[in-house]
Amino acid sequence: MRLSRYLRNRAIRLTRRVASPMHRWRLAHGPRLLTLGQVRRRLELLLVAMYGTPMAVRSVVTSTADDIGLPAQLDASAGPEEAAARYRLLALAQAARLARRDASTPPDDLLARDLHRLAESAAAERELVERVPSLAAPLAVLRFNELAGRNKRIGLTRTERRVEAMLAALLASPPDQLPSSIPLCGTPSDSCAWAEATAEKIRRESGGRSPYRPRNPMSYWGLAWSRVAEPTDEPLGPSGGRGAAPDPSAQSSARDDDAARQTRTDDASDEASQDDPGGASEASDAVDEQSATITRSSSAEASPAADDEREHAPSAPADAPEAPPELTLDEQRRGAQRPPAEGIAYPEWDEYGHRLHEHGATVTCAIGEEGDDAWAAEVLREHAPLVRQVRDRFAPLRARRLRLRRQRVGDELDLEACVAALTDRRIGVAPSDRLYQVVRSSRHTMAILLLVDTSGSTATKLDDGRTVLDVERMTLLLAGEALATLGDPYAMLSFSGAGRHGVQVCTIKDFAERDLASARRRIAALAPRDNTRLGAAVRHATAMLNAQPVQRRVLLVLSDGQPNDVDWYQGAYAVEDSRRALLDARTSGVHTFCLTVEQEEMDYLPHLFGPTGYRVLSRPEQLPAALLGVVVGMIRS
Amino acid sequence: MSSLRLADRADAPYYLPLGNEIDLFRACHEQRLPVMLKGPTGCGKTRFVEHMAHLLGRPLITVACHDDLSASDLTGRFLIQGNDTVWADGPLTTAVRTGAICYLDEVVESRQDTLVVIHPVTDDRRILPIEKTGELLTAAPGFQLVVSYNPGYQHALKDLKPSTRQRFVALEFEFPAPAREAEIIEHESGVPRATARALAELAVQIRRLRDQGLAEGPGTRLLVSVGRLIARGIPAHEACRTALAAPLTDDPDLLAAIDDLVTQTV
Repeated sequence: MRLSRYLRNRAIRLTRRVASPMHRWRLAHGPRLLTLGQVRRRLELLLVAMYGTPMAVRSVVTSTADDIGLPAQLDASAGPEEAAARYRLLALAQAARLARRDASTPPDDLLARDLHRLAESAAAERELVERVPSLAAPLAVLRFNELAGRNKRIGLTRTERRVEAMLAALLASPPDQLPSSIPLCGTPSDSCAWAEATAEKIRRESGGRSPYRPRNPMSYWGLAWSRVAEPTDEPLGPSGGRGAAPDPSAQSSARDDDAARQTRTDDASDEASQDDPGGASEASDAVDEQSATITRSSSAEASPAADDEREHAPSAPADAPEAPPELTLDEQRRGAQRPPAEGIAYPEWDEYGHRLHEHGATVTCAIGEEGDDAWAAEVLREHAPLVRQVRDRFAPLRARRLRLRRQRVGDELDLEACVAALTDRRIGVAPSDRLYQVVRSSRHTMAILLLVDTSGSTATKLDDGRTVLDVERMTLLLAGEALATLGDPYAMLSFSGAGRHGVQVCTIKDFAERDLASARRRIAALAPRDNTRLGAAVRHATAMLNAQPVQRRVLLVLSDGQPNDVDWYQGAYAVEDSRRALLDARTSGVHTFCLTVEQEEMDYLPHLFGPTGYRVLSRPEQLPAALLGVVVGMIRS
Repeated sequence: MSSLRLADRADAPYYLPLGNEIDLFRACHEQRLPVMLKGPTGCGKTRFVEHMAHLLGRPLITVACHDDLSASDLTGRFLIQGNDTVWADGPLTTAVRTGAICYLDEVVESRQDTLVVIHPVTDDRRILPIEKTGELLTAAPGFQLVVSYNPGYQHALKDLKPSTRQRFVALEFEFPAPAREAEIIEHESGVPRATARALAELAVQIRRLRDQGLAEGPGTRLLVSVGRLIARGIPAHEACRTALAAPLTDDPDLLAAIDDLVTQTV
């Protein structure tokens, strides 16, 4: 059993050692791509600046009708700026349509809906080029490429040919002009009215015998058309689209393949989310991101890239932190009975025996594993306004050097005071004896230690789908930015427990460490493990804080629930030992405070931390206010 | 520390009114009421005071406030000249004696205890006691105190005391509407009307990024600087990048988004 586990772990490490360099080599030498993630925030900022309201930019597959849906990646062989310009054009074209929206809803009838889309695209793009004339040329190229990539009108019904002709006329016309077949509609309601009237007219002229299937899917132009997966190869019916007669010759080209692929992907992701509503969302997102790449035959740029990325996809878990060995409860208990050779012994309060065990628990210290840089970069980019807000609010609290003038005792003479005293004496006024100046810090220096619970219960999902640990990681990241701005020494520790001698404290950032990048990587690698033996961890953190040569010490505990462990460390025993550890910390001059995520059982919190010594957070966005409140309170106290 | 500037220019400094602020200021001057100007960076507060000083025919004394500003810096101090001690008026005392407009720029930067010295001169007493000399100065008829600050980036630790704030009439400034801002840019920088309009439109768009991580939107002063560079022959895109985007932020995404806006607007 042990041997097989050992061999399995060795195999995982070996695979990682080989796979990581390969992954890096592929990233460096593979096809040059620009992913949506690299430009998402830039595009969202651009859209806010242009239209005044936030618009979410998402992958075309995962986007909704309220979002801007874009390909997951674009070819960047002509340079990243050229690819970014293409992303920008696609985003602006869709944003122009979103900005026009009013209270009207698009028609339900498929024919009228496509006509409505034609009219809206024409009007929105005309407005866009009127506003930004420089976009006329690239938009014309985009239209031309779409036109060139469309299939010949073989196997289309009469109705479909008429709509296809209108679409072709629109794509062939310059963006600032409208083809004769499409009127200029001032509002979406006008477009709606025209589309319904025209659909009725087309049906009447065809005698109601010519069916219609939507003109989907499109390539880059008209990406938004593909957002609602509509069956382009469904059997045709006399009513025009819904309920249909078979048309075997229709849509025989790559367009059908694309549609089928698109539909299959949608189905697959839907199934995945239904089968595994809890755990597979990230994986399905990854599939969506890959499948969102447009794979039309005319856009060969994305295909190899997508294939390459698909090859990469399975290697992604290799970067994830190693899963803890699956020890049974008995094994954990047996292992925990033996104190580790390099552990630090701490006392533990025995509530039932009402005595303090001198060597109650053993803490083993380690440096946290390092994860990927990308996670922290992505989170910081995504929450950039929040990060700035945190920094702005903490910067004024930074301890500054303050020059105190006119002191009776000081390091050097205050020249101004001396001159004033001299002049006072000459004009017959009693001179002041405050002739010195001294430089001091504007406030007491603080050492802050964040102690993070990474027990197995942090894998619990919250209402919004994130785990408690996700919230803790984000909180840590933002707290790191805030505390770095504050300038005072701070440290971050994670802790977990597996029996009285199995308390593990991992350093995410030490007081002396200046490298924030390492801390970010360690935060990224945090993973749930074991249990919450809070008392020993608090005693260890208190000892670290007390070793700091500062005037104030603050212990901030990020926890997700009541302390407990595999052995007798349960219920009142665990709560009372933790309380005793926190009381000892406060007695030694350490201010304690708990930030916790929303949970059901919170009665023990005031018992441990006092009525004002904790704050319950439901969202990481609440962190700046909570943390600022704590720090300001500590500074002023 | 402080600068003394008299409105001795032949032409009034250019100022395009946005509302009835000129009438309001004139009324305050006649009624001897101190004025507080609130508005974002570069929106024209200082230019407005210069313009009004010229219109009213009063000298203007400007003090740039800072954390180390002391009461002596405002009222004055004894200096030693040779074997004698000589009293030197501070800018506030000079303004009180000569009936000038005393303008305290970014007033919240100074400490609250320093600002208490202005209290007697800002109420109906209009007196300035000078402790060192034992003088009790009564303000000359034309004296007026004007302070300015930017409420946009104030924080909890820096604010005026209510007892100070309530002595002033507050005039709020905003960025001008695009057409007016274009007019100002054109006049101040000498760029063609179309370029000035494009810069004003660009500024409107960038200011919408205020809630997206931008500390503060570009002021008209910044746009005038860009216009001057363009008028001097620097390509518009480069001028915008160096004089508009780069001074605003270091955030790469914000810089890229502003660059995109510049590309399609100017």
